[in-house]
Amino acid sequence: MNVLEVRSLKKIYSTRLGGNQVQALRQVAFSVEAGEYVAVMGESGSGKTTLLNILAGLDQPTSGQVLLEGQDLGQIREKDLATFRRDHLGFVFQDFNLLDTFTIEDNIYLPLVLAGKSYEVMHSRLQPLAQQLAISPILSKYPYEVSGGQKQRAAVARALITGPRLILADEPTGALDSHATDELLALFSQINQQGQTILMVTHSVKAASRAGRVLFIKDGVIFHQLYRGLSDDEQFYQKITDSLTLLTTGEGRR
Amino acid sequence: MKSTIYPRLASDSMKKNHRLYVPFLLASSGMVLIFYILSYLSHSPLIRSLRGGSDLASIMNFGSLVLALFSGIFLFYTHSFLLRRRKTEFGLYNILGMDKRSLAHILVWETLIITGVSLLLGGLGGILLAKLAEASLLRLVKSDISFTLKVDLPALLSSGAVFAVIFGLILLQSLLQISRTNPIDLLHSQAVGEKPPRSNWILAVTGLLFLGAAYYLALSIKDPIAALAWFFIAVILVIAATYLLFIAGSVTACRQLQKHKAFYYQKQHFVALSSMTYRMKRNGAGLASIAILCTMVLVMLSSTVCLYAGTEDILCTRYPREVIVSASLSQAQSANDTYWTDLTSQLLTASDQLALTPENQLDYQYVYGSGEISGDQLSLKKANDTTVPTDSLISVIILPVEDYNQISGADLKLESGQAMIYTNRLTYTAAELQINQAVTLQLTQRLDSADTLKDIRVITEASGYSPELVLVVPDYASLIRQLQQSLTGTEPADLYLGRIMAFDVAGSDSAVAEKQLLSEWQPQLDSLVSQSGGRLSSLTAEAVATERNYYYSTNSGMLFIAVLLALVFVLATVLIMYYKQMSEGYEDQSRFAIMQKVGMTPQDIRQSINAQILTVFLLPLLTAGLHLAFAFPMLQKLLLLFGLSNRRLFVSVTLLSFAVFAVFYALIYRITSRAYYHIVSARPQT
Repeated sequence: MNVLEVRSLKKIYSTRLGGNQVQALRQVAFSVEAGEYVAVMGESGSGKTTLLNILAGLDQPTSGQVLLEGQDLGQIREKDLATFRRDHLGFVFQDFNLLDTFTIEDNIYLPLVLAGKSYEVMHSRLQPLAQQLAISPILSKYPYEVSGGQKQRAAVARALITGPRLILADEPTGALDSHATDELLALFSQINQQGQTILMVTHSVKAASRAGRVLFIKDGVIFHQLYRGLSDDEQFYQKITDSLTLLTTGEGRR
Repeated sequence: MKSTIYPRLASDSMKKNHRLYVPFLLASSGMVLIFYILSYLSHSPLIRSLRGGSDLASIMNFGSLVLALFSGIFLFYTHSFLLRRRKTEFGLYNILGMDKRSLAHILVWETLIITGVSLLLGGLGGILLAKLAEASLLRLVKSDISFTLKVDLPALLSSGAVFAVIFGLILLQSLLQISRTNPIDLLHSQAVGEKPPRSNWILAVTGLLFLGAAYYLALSIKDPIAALAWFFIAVILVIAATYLLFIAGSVTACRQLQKHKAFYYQKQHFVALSSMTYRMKRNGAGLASIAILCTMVLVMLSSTVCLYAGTEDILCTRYPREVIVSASLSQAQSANDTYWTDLTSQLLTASDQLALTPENQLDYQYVYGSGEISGDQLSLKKANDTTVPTDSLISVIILPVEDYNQISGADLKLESGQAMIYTNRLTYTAAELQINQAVTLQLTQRLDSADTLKDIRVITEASGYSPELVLVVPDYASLIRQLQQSLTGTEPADLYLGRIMAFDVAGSDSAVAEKQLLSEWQPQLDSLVSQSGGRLSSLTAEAVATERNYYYSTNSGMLFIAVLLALVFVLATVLIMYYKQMSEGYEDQSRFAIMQKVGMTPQDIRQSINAQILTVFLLPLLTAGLHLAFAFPMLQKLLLLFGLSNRRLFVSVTLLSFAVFAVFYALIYRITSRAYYHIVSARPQT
């Protein structure tokens, strides 16, 4: 069954005076199956962030549908949207988005506290996660006291603790050094192997080469897609690079 | 070209930051305005021409001094907030190749603009409003008004000088700050990772102890004048405690609550509590300042309004009749002595000539002294200074029974050696009283304590402040002689033998006639004393009409100053609150954006904001209310010094001021929190 299904998504931004219209997404359609690890690649301004915002329910499409677990996001009422997002989606952002007023532990608990879970439940859910993500020693620290990689792992823990159907990752490696990037990507592969569905938006080839499938987005359309098939990380990396070269030089040809 | 770029940069950036600068400019203009008015009034010839006008002028002068000091501190404080917001901009200029000299140029121009605008607006407003202020002051004093608009150059110059100095100091401080930092610091100065607030038990407990000590002092000081040093210590302790509790105490309390896991990890507490901790750390000082300013406003307003509203009350206590002739005698006069009646009838012929009809006439003699009570012994002592009450001394007043019956309309009968006792702010329960071990009195009658001295309508030298013991005795003249004899040889004591003749003048509008009568009497009084053959040592006459002006001019002067200072304090409160809301708004903006992404619903966010804002709103107001409640007994005693003993009036005025202020405060808060919501709800695009 498809965890996520996107049908002919269109998003038009008009400037404030209504003069210029910008088509951020023209015609986007794809689906993500349960357990998949999908990367969406594209340059700045290709519509990646718009797509992600719409998938997260933070933005409304001009037309088209987003079905999450068969549920149409457009049908969910505004006030229930936040709850739906909290219960079904996990987010990992480029700039971590940890709250500096909370300890790492409290940051991870945030979605559960909002869902009204008791401390005992949250605590027992955190233990295995903290073990797996190797953040047990920093739980009582504050975000500014730990490294970027640790912050991102805390953010991953926050995304996972609700047991979401889908993890949405927006340039998760964008603010990390190469060592931390490798660690994070290994972590993503690991949780994907445990059955977690992941959709990652990135323009790092390295990050994309770890996914099972790569979607290329350009000028608001899905331009191309690549399956890993039987290739290993390095071969897949090569394939992605080739596709990107084609994408940027060969205008309009598929 | 080069010379015009700095003023342009300065004015451009001020325009760009108008949300920050406009309130600051308005506040500083307001302060210039009020300062101008005060210094205008302090040498307004119209004010000086009033009776008590020079006192009024010096009150104004004092007020302007306080204002200058406060404006300096306050503008310094708020400007540092402005500077913090501007540092990023300066960092950018610096990186773009502008050296610190040029930054200094911009700052100089900026200060010049601020000073110019404030002085211009404040000066113009001051000139326009000064006459209005003068008119309303004269109205308060109950004097006639004449209107002419004029510019007072010395006042204008002194306002200019005072505020130029203040802004000069502010500039100096900004320059120092800029020169100390490097460009990268400047650029990132807003985004420094902030250490989590830690509980500080020592400071929090110290704050509590200070507050307890201050409140204890406030309640236990019996005599604020004698214990003036303690009074000031109490005030300073309250201020220190407020700061400590707001800064350290609040954070410690939040931290303690956070340790309580079942409480902390609840939807409605989780976010609010953790951000409150930071909020209190950052804004504790600001909130404490607000609380203290509120307390000051409330104390000033309630006591001066009360004093003004109670002026008639005070006059009535001090001058129970419209015209009072008082004499100081060298010997007590026996009941059948006609010397005094002859003398007064001689004086009253003058009133006949003026066609005045005396009514409600009072005529009595009394002894006033001060002494100490131990057991059933009263020893009369010499008071060092009769105007300053001291701890242990009480006022002792002795009246002859016939005079008491005459003035109170009672029919009291006392045998020789008996007396009636009345006490005020003092309890005496023994059945006997021995005075200087020479005279023993059986206290056969007691006057109900519900009556006050005012009700007996006795005018004495008693300050109306220290405890009073009144004895009504038969055989007055011989008793006093006995007392005087007991005093010679031992340490000297002042026994003041007084005689009063007082009356009202028929007709409601007799003020002019009373003043005329006084001036008619004035030459006679001295000659009467010299002709008395040593029976009189002084003779004076007073009329309430002339005293009324004096009382009104001082009391209204204080009210006026209090209102102006309250205005300034409220202005300061508004500005501190506004800046606090603004800075919190910017800090919370990104935080709430994150929470929304993580799954916080807009309602949750609004709820959390409301909870925090309400707490932050209520804390200073409640603190001010608490301070006021504990200051109440002390204030009441201070008002007693001014002759105001009407407790009901003071309680109701205080409650009313608090209510009015609370409404006003809520209004301010509503307006400023709009600025906050406006910033927070603007979702940053990432």
